[in-house]
Amino acid sequence: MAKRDYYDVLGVTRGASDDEIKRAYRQKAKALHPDRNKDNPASEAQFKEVSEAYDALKDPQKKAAYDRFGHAAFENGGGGFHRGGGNPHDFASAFSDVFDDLFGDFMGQRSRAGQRASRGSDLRYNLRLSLEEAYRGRQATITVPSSVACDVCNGTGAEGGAEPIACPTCAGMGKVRAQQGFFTVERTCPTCSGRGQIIKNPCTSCAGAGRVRKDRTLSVNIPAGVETGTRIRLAGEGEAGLRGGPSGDLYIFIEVEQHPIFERDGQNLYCRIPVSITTAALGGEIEAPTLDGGRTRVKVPAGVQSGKQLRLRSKGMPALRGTGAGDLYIELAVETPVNLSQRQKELLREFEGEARDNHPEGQDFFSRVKSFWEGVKGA
Amino acid sequence: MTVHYTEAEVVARVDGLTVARLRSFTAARCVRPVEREGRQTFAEPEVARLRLLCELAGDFDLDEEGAAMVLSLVDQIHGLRQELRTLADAVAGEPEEVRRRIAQRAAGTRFPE
Repeated sequence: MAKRDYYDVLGVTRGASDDEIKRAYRQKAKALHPDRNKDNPASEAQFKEVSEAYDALKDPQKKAAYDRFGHAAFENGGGGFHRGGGNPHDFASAFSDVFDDLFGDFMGQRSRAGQRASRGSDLRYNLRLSLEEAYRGRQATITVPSSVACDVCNGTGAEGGAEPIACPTCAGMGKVRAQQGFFTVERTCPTCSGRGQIIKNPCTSCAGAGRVRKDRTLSVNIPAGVETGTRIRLAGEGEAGLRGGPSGDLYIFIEVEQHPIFERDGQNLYCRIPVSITTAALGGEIEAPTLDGGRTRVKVPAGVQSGKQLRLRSKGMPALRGTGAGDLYIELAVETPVNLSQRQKELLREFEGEARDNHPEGQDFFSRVKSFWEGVKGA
Repeated sequence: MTVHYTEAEVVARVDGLTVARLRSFTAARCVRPVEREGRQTFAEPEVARLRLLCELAGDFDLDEEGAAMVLSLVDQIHGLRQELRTLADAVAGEPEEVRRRIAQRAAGTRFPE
């Protein structure tokens, strides 16, 4: 099924402001939160869809990329960026060396010949973490399929580790020139494929590539405070370079999973806790969970209304590579009691009979409704 | 049959060209001589290139390196036009839907919002 437009998912227009996007997200997230929709299995997928849309549109850079390229802006896949090496299937890379070609002559180098020992490709690894793991940080062990220097030829690609020789067709330039009337056009050398060197006796282990495929296991320190989209660079842990060239880098892209209790917005955490009407009316204490697995007692003021947020300082997510932490916001949801006994019903009716100015919000609302109706009649 | 000229003949045919300048342009790979009977010779297109090089040097007060750069850029523009033609031919062979998407993407890249 085609992926829905992020703006449609959030129900906002393309020109919506950051505040409008944030407001739309919070409304949708509240309505679709799995805790509120236990009987609706589709809501979880919709909740994720809304979260994904908000993740993309809240970040100015991601938003700009999405506005320009749509979903294609984030479809990097799991392969790699293929910097330097050039991906024959990548449309854009067909022209990636245009500037090298244009000015290579005048910068003291020939671009193709410079690829004799080329840098290895960068690799991307997507790592999913729970919110707790993002809170604490963790040591992750990852297995990366990549290319490493061939042990047999020491990465040279030549049998017995012999040095490659200059290509006889292009004299090591990596390009051959063809005369087309007045013009002279350069083409990649067909003998050495632009490398400028050839290997007379290729290494049988790596077929002359100088590197072989191998899974590598790495231990990576994921710092506390990472969020979806955080990128960790491990220099030199990408693919091995060609024929002794330097290795590329490994980029770990973090994706933090949704949490069943806590919702994250930057460094702040949000948790919705139900409270009884008696606690809401009389005040009291509730026990609130914290992401470190602990619990903390929170004082509920008397007369609190549903939706009231109580802030717990520094109980949010830690700052990535910094000090301090965000806050934890407890959102109170006053719960209407169900399955009342006869006695409870009597008490509530008695309470209703005694009620005097106990519902200021309701009274204010109905007085505004009254004014509205009077205005309609008078019009 | 292609006519080839010796160094002396080329110098005589091209205004502003000296033997030293000719050898400098040859070393810079602006022109490609062909060896015939033990002598370096130049075909007619190479003579035309040398004529343009000397005109660039004279008209625009360029040194040999500057003139060589301009000629190299002229060559590369020609090569890029060929590449673009190849690409255009390849795109033209695709179904209409693909061509339409490529045109839209190209327009978006050229005129970003």
